[in-house]
Amino acid sequence: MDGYVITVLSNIGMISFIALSAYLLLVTGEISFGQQAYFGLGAYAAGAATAMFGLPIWAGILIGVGAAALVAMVVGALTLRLGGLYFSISTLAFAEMVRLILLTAEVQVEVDGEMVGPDGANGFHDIRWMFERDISLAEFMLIIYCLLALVLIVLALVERSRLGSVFRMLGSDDLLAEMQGINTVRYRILAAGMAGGIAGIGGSLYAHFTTYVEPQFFNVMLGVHALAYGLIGGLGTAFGPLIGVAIDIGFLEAVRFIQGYRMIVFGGLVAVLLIFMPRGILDEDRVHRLKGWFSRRRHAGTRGN
Amino acid sequence: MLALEGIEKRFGALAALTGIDLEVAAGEVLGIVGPNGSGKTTLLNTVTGVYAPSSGRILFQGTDITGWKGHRIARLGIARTFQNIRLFPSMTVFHNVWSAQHHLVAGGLLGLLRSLPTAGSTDTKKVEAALNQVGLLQDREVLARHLPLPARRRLEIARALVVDAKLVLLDEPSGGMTPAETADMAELIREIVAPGRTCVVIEHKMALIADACTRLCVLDFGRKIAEGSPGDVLADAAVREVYLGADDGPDA
Repeated sequence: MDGYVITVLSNIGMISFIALSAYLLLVTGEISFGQQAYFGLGAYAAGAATAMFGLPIWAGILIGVGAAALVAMVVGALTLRLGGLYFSISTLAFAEMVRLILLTAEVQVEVDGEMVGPDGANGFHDIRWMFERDISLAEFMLIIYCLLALVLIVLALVERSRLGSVFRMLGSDDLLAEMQGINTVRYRILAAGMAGGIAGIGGSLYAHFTTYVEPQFFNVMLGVHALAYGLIGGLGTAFGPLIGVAIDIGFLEAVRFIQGYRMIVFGGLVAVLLIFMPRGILDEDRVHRLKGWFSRRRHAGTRGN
Repeated sequence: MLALEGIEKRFGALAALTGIDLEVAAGEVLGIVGPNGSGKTTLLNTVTGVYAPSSGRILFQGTDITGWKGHRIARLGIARTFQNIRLFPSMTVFHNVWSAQHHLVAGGLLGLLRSLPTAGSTDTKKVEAALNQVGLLQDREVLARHLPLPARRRLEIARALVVDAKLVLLDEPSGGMTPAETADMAELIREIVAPGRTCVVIEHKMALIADACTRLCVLDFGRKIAEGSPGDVLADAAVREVYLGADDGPDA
């Protein structure tokens, strides 16, 4: 595989985390324009852990995830009472606040005679854990996809568990869930924390893959894309947002023929899908039918034996 | 079983409920009647914790539940249906009923991570029994939004049965139904009350009230204007004037 293909595939993998993050909230009925904040917090926290304090990358990712999840839960608790559009605007405002704080934050320490750490608008350079250890881009891509697989397995388990059922209840009818004895506040905060943590994994990996992050990357367009991926790919299963990412980055960005027109094609695609498939390609109904079809096939197979 | 003491609910300058005192005894079917906007649904919402009363106390089996969150009240064994029907439309009939008993699952987070029910498990059998009682067992795999209206109202009642609710609050259970369907609903209400359950029914249709209710309470402009046996209450002059019209007989 050449470097270009590896970079595109790695980008698909890393962006998938923020797409899954936005997806989890969409399932619980919340439209967040601010998941890029947790991606960014994860990137800065994980980068700081390895580049400034010399921790191994696993500790870096854990710190990135923990920081993102913790902040997400606090923000989730603060915005609980806001519904619909007001919630969405508050997530956007918070994400912009995080970006502006990162733009001004200058926290540097001396490592081997060089100053390392977030340097305001200049970004955070020299997150070189990967290069110091001679880890190739291909090997790092493997790490990305192993973690992505792990998150997908957890989300698939949640989906078939009572917790997944509670999340879908929240998304479908919050008041009814409360009237059925479900502590909706607690589950909303849990969902916010999980979504923040998932975005944090993506950010942690991104910081180490590119060795350099700047606040500008975590602007609102990243959050809007993250939302769009779920809406394109479908809200019926966690594989939906991955389809969305693959369509956008894998096809639109990688195919040179479309380059330059990417945002036009992407915007058009979102508009067309919202009209004809308002909950995406793999929406709840299609997933329900697919599951029925698979289980009938399986039953037919066992009888055949 | 349920006691309301001086319940008041104001929305800004509007007094939706004023000085409501009401006792619901165990095992009875209390009908709440009154014209549109008289505060019936507001009363139900106040009892189930959709919002807290502005003043007054609500006691359930001796426990003061005033101001409690909805989920805590539900866990005490108070279940309800909704005037405009609330279901999870993208879930199957089975899943809708099964989801009503989430809070009964023990084991905290580990319990939550247990997978969905499998055939033959205890909770599956309970759901099947509830669906059977309301006559929806054959529709178990149908998506809730594909059900006709009477079946949707029955599905709401199945949710109360599966958790074995002590107090069931029904908000216009025969809304939008034909006379035949209404008669079926009255029969179902009598059935579900039989094993010692208590029921509060908000209703407009005299057929259902006469068929199912053991006692009536009449609201008008957020005040209780009459209470007693259906026969006495419907004969009351004040009730006839506000609810049935001054000169009409109770033939609605």
